[in-house]
Amino acid sequence: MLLYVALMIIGVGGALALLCGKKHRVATLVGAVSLFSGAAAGLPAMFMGMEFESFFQIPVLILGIAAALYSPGYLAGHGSERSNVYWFFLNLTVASMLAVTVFEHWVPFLLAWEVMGLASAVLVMFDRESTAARKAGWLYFAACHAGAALLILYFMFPECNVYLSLFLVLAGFGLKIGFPLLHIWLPEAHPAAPAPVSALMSGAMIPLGFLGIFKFAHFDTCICLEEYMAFLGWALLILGVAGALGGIIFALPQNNLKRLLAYSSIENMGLISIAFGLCFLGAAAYDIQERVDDISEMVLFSFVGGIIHIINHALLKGGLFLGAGSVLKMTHTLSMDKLGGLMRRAPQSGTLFTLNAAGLCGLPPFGGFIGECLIYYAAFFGVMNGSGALRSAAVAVLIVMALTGGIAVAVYAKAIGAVFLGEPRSQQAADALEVKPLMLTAQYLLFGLSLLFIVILAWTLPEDIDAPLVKNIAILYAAVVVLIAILLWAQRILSRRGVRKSCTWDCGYAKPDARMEYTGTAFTQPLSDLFDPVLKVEKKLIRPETVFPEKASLDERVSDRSVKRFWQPLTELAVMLAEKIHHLQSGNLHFYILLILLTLAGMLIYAMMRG
Amino acid sequence: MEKCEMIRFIFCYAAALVFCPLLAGIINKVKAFFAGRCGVSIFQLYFDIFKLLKKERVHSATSNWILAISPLAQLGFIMAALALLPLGLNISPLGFSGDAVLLFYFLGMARFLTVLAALDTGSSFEGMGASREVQFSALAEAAVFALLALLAIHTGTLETGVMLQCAGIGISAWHTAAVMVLAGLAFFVVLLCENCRVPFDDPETHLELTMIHEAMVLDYGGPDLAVIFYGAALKLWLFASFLVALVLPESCFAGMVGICCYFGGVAVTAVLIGIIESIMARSRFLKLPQLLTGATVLVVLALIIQIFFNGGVIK
Repeated sequence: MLLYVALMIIGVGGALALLCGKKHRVATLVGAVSLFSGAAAGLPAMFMGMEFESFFQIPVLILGIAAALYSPGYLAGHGSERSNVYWFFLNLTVASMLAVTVFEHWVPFLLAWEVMGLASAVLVMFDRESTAARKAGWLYFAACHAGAALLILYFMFPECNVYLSLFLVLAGFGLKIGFPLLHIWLPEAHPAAPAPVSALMSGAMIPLGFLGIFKFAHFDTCICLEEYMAFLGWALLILGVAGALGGIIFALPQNNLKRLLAYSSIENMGLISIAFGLCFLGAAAYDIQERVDDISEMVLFSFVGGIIHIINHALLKGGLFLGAGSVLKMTHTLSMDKLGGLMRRAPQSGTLFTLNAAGLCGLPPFGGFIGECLIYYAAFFGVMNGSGALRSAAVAVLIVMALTGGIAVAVYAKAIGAVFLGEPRSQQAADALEVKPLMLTAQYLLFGLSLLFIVILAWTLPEDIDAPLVKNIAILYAAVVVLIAILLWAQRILSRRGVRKSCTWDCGYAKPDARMEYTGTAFTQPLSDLFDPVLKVEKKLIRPETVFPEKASLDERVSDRSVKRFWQPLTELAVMLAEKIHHLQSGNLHFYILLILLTLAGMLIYAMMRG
Repeated sequence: MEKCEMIRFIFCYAAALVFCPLLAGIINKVKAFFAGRCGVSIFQLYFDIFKLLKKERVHSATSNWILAISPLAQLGFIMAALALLPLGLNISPLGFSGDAVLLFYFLGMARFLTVLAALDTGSSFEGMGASREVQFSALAEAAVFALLALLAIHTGTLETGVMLQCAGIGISAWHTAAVMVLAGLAFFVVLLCENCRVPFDDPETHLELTMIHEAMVLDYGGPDLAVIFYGAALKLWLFASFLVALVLPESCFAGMVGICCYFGGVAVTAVLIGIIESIMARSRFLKLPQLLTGATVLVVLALIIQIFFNGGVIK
């Protein structure tokens, strides 16, 4: 009930904000207050009766609150004159996301799904002067519609071939989730959209695809449930492994901060997909496995791990996208090779970004670890108790997750190092000033909630899933925090002779400057060289040729190969086929009427043969 | 847990904290022996640490809070990770099912702090070291988790202490022994990588361009450097303990014998590292990923042997 009230408040508030027209202050006030109060009103409903949908509604509501707090400061200065449009579509997006989680029947579900896609596509294009934003919005728009078309086909023909229907549902929802090959809109849309919108889309919208799969896959109507779940499980597992590893490898060489975060979202969706894949595979193995108890642990932990990771990812990645928005606000650029030294100029933003990044890498004692640890735990159970292919898959999952975690550390160390640490590499970065307190409040809120989430989990999970793991982790977290607090207090003893400031050691050279610093690109170069068979970095190298060296330059570009290798040929094929039937469009009305007649006759014959 | 075992564990933990700088001394003595020198005192690292602790702290003007807190916070995470291991071959009272993941992620956090502190100074050398560190550690992580999968199959448990205690090179069957030899070898490679020893990194080198770990801590001096030296020694002790518990069979436990075996094993590991450093040169950075991938391959081979011959869980 409360949830419907929340929906109403958000929706009506959005409409009112639109009506405010040019009075953008009033529009901002109405939009922000309605979004904040609506989302806050919905939150208690989550804890009164926990349902499966609640785990997808919590990110929507929390990120809605964060967006309401963050957006006014973010819009001020650029785009505030159109704030009525912004708030209308932002509220519409949040309301439709809530609606998506509520509906049980597919027709209203798809309607809400489409509204969600369209409203967010407008927000992606909000910066209407930028060509990149318009292009990204267009691509996102196309991806939304392709997904919806596949889903309509899926829902219209429930009795078609099992594999075809599974393909339709995975591709339809996968376009939203960003499975590999279907991900191409993500790295374009996230950098273009305003930061609160990126946070909302990355944290709350894309995981809704998983909700769709869980809710609308034909579990009850399929012929053989085991086979169905096994197939779904393998598909999710393979897509997840490819997405996790591919996503993080492509995040490595990115120079645009938000694009890097977008690829990291693909990675995290991959991890969640791995978790649900393991869950389905375990569930499918229930019957053929002699020891049911053993495999049930894998099912339980992978499912819980996936769900927890969805919420953690929403909180932490939401915080990171807001942090990236603050960087843009402070310096007007997202190019990491032009940033640096922001930690001194904006210590609160820098610290929050660092803590969020550590959390998202799954490093203890922050939130992200618990979800990842449960997925690891599930994979270990798969290794110990699974049989045949499942066991090998679980080993592969462990190795891939460890490698992904290691590369994620490199990716985020690069992001923090290049943006916040060292010396500023441009005047814009040198002149940066901390953002407004309300924007910081949104980030503090998200990070604080991610810490609170650990406590809640430690409190509730052991009773629900009968495993002391999470409680033990939380206890050790507390112990480590106390230990480090004691050690840092002891730091005073180290400083008893005083702390002197001096310049950075550079082999006796006393004037190190920003041009000598390691750039983000240089930092990840060894790893991206290692993965060059996947990345195929395009290099344009002009070597210094003559005895007296003149010009030398190196230009590196990373393009998403799935665009060039998969989508371009596919669209070209589609255009070619379209041209083949182009002559049907003659402009002759009589001919069209003939076609209509023929179609009707054909349908009549078909109906008579069926009848 | 029995009270007596608890006391033994606390004793071993305290001993690890006190004696870990000795490992560097042992390694240096072995190297000196191979070079025909008499070498520095085995207690040299203690002297160094005490000398450094008496000095003033110097921080780069570019740096922020990360550089200042990093050494002690790292030490905290390493100490926490050490508390999860079976020390003196007694199972840790803090251990629980699935703690292995936490153990290696604590070490991951320590490394993240080192890397960030290096980038905090804005020095090109430290950026270079940090860049190498994240590359090699990502690959080492894969080997470690493959090894944990092997141990999980081999022993049927997910608690690090029990897992390591049940593992060991026995003489029951050739394939069990083969599995553990491969696992031990692979972990030894990881140990060399994580602790920046030859052939991954040469701690003795004097050129910043060729270093990994030492390049990352170039800007530290005085008490901070002392903490870093101590943390590195403790990390080496941690990995040596893991290796000893992994390789020694279950039969050499129980009481004082177990504790003697443990300290002896850690010392032997240090001697082994010393021998390797004396007879090998550091390899090229471009070759190192192959070595680490090789370690992962060894573990996967062991996994195949384990599943094929032993049919999975023994216990």
